[in-house]
Amino acid sequence: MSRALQIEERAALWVLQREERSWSSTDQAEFEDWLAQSDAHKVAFWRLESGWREADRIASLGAPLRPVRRRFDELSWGKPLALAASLVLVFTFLLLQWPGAFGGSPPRAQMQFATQIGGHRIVRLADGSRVELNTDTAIRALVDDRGRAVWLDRGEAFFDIAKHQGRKFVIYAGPRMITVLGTKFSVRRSPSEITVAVLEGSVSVDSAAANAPDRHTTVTAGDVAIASGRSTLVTNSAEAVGQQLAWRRGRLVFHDIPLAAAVEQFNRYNQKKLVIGDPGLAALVVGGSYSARNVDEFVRLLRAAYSLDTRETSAGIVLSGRQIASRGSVGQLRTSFSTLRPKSVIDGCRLGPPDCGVVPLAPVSRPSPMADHEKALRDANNWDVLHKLYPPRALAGREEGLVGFTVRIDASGNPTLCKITQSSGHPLLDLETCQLIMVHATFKRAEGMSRSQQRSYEGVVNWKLPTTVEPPVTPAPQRIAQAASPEPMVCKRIPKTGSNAAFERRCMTKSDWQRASDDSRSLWDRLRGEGASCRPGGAGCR
Amino acid sequence: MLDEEATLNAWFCAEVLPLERALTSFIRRNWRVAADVTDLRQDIYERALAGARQAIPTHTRRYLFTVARNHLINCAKRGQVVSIELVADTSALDLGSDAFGTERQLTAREELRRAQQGLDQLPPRCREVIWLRKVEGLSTRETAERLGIGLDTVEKQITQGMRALVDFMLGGDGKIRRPLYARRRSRSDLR
Repeated sequence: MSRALQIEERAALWVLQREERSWSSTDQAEFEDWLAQSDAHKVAFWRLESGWREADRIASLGAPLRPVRRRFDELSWGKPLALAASLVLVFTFLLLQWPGAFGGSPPRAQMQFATQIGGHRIVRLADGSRVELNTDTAIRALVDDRGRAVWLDRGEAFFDIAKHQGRKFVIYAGPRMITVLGTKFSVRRSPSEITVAVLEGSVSVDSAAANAPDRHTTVTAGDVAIASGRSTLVTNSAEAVGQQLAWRRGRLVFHDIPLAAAVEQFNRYNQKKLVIGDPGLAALVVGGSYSARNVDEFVRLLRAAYSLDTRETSAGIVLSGRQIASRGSVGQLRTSFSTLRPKSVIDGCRLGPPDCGVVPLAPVSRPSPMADHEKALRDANNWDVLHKLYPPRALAGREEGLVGFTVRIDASGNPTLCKITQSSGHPLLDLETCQLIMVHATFKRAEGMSRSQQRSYEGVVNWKLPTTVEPPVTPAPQRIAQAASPEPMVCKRIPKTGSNAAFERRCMTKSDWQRASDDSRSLWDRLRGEGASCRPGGAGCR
Repeated sequence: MLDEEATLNAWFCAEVLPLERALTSFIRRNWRVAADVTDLRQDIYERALAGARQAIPTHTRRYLFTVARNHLINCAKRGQVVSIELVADTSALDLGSDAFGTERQLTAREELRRAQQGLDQLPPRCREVIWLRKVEGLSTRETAERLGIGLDTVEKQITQGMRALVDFMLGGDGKIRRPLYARRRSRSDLR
């Protein structure tokens, strides 16, 4: 392998390892040594790291870009054969293992499965049932032809129980036992309570104590049951079930819950613990959808949106209020996007913001109808993106309001022109909204439209400030004067250098185009007036 | 010292890297052994960085291409394969050809699209691993657990995917370069 590729490989490994939780100060020292060894190392590392960070953008694509599983028709000819062969093997194995096949009765074998903090594991039981273990979970399973039982010793698990001619499946979770025939549901055991969320079918929750009165609680699809002490509370909300099950996709979804509860959730998943250093903060209301194992992102968001102070100590990341909490009152940052589509109702919109009506900031996903909780999750994702996008300048200047806009969209779903139809009263905020839309929004590709056709889309963004923020920093006056009236964005197709066929699209305001043109003209004039002779080792080229 | 490194880093990422596509095609045009391109590019970057340590150049494009030309000429001389065309071509280096800096400022949207394309054209398993890392934020160990494959495999997949993705985003072809067999050594020893 060539030298450059070797260095690049090492650099890639550094980039990767630096993101890991196990990164230690010795690793850091070793890494710095390596970096200092030569410029070649630095160059390779910087190149990869900057590109890798750029690739963070794909996270903003959200759910639609699921990794494409290979479909059967894409498989090569050898693979179905291999698949068939392995199936035969599995069946032979099952036949051999099946106790009834030989009439004997071997001792019942108990199986144990566990995950560490941050872990996620799917196990398949002998009867075809599937159990998905969440973080820090331990179960024991005893499944054979005499009975089916699972003990949830700690943590949380999702059960997809296969039906077997009237054979019951029992789950023991501390003081409760859950009896089912064949359904999909999750059980979470915490020291104080048992939470059961049912996705399909119904389950029965009973007290596990032998002398307890015989009291059934039936929990059906869309229900969440919380059992604590002797009582069991059942609420019916598909939303809540979706929220309870978000962990299966590695996400945490919060709907306006106190920070303390959110922190508790994150701590279940991560070795790096969050600590609330300021009692006033515990009641701060947070919402959104987060990656459960990416605590840094959550912290970054808290820092950006609520201006919290974060300190990393040996105990974990300590959160404390910088400005807000010290005054005893805590604000809530709410950005709600509501779209007003002419002559059409916002589909599946049952809750107030931020749960629905979000402008499709992440590219619009599959057009097929989605389950409600999936939609809620996606919207929460969108909201999450938006949440980060509140223009910092507008936040500092305490600007908020309703911004109405019209976007012209070309056939492939890209916005080409954005106009303000209703001003928020803050020209800069209007402008920024249009800029956000031009840069981040993608719309559904229209079927049956020719390439030259365009359509338009009307919408409203409702920017809302957190209820309490530090008094505004007065914005620089010349900026305001400059942007007295919102300028429309202008997009141009520019031929790419080196190709006759390729074009790229650039969008700027009119004055920016003018400036760019002036800049390049003056640069061109200067270049023509100068000779080109300089050395790399010399004192820079001017 | 640290400050200076940070400035260099910022300059390198913001000014030099966007020129990678142009630089690569420049090297490819002027050097006949295609397998040497990566090495040459790396050397040119290294030299450019060493030079910039004294003063950050004002015209990065001109600076970078001058470094590239000098390096190519040096290598060609050392390798005793000076071709007439090379010297002729490099002396007529068109430094001002892209004064508009089109490739320098990709808009955020185009970068996103580029990242998406880069991701799409990775092999399926590799793409899945990168996806889990970037979007779901899983660590190597968690990815290994989720997919039921070894830690080494995950690490290899991520590093390969990362290199291909970065290459693609900087204007390369984004192919995974597997060290399946020893590469042909070039005739000129580049070091």
